Amino acid sequence: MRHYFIIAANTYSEARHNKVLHIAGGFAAALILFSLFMGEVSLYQNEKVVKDVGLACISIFGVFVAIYLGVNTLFKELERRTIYSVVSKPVDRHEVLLGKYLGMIMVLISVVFMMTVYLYLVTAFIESKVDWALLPAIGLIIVELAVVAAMAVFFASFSTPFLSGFFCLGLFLIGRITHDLGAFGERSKNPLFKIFATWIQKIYDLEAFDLRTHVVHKLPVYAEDFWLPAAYGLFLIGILLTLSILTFRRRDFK
Amino acid sequence: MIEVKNLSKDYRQHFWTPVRRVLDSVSFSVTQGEVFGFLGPNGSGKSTTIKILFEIVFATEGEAYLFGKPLGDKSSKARIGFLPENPYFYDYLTSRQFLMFHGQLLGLDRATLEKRIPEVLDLVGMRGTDSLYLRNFSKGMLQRIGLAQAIVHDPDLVILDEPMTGLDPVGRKEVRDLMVHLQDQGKTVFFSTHILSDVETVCDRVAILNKGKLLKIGSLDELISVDTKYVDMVWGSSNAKLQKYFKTLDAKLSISADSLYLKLAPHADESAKRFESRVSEVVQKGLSEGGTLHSLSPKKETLEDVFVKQVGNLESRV
Repeated sequence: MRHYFIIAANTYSEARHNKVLHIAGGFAAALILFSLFMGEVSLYQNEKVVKDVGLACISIFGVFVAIYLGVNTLFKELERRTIYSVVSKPVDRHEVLLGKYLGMIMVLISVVFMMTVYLYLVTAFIESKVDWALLPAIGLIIVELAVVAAMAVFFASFSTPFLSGFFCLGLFLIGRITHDLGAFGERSKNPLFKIFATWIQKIYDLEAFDLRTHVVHKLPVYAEDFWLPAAYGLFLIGILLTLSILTFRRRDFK
Repeated sequence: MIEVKNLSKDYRQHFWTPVRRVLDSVSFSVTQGEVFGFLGPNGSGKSTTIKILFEIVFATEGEAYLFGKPLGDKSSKARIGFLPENPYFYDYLTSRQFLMFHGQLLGLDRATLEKRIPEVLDLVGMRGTDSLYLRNFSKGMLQRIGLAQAIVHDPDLVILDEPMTGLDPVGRKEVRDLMVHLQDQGKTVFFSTHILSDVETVCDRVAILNKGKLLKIGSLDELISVDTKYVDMVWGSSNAKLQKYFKTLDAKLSISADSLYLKLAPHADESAKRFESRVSEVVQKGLSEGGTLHSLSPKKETLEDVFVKQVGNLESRV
């Protein structure tokens, strides 16, 4: 257990020094600030626009960080051969992989935390209270990012960063449209497409992690709206990490 | 300590390219307390063998044991220090953080490491670099810090892949001294290299590898013949009689204005004793012909000769 945390702390430290993440974070922060002006041109919807754009920024920037870290962190370890001196120690390969993943989750939580604080600071300009209702949506963004990071780690366990990034982004986008695909399927007259579309949505649906509309428009959010997607996310993460470990454990590090 | 039995490794660049055997039935063993040199040209399979020992790559055939246990055993790994070839380490860490990271992976607690880190930095000649970032290190400094992480837990066996790479002559000497120091403490050192002088200086036993095959293994005394390979003689006066006599000999003769250079080698079936008496005869005769002998130097076989002879036995290395 100790090895996971040592490797995770090292991964976190590495990400902390990554300039690409600093620049992307700055860009996302600028975009949230810009939402203040976007709110000004809306009709009495200032607060909703700022929150909606803010949450979207957290999600999009988070997905970028998850994919970028997921595909690069493991690859860099192999490319620079730093992994040689780690696996030569009494450390199992799955400890390296899960330690790296844990480190990425620590980075993602830090990033989301910082951006959430920033979003609350920006919303303080237009309303004087802290809107705690945003937190379930932010919690599910973290779960979704953890799923995306697990996808990235899975592809990185056998492929190059470019291909891994490409596959991961593709899978993420598919996950975002399966909800609509399911809706089309229900209305479709083609029985085969109907079965395919509804089953795909049942198995793989990243839209399940989106509570943005609910919290921004102050619709009721029940406990199961959070816990069910969270459990589904953990299920996906479990599958992806198991596949990653199976791929990684017998791979030759040339 | 290390036991390798019929180890083979096949690589395939892509699924459409043919399989290439980079290691072919290699067997050897390393016993406790010895410094063992793993010698071979680039691409001979030295690093592949070492990578297999740590399961960085997996053997296609054969088996290997460390401390009598199969590869991958954690208790064995905890007793080994490893320096990879051309190491690149996390450049955002300082020396101290880097050694702390590796020490913790080895199961050492913080208090032990706080005490041990200055000691190993001192041992590898890096005292005072605790707070320097690895990104500011030269290649030689990285090699030394790599050595430090290999010995931070005071291992029983140290495996070094090309440890002299990137080091200046002083650095190389320091690494050789470190190996001797480790041996004096009862540790076993296994290192790969293609620098022959390093092997001759510190190794008890040597294995020569080429094209994935183990060509020769043994102590330096076993590998290098003690017999004289040839004798070099420089004669001071070049009178005609002396030149005429030397020309009758089955030897290489070079004549300059005021000296004669004679290279006398033993015949294929000539014993060492017979060759010595032949050299002595030539010297006496030369002196009696009025020559002045300036120097006589018998040349013994070197490890380089053995290496070139062995590696040269095979066709192209690639």
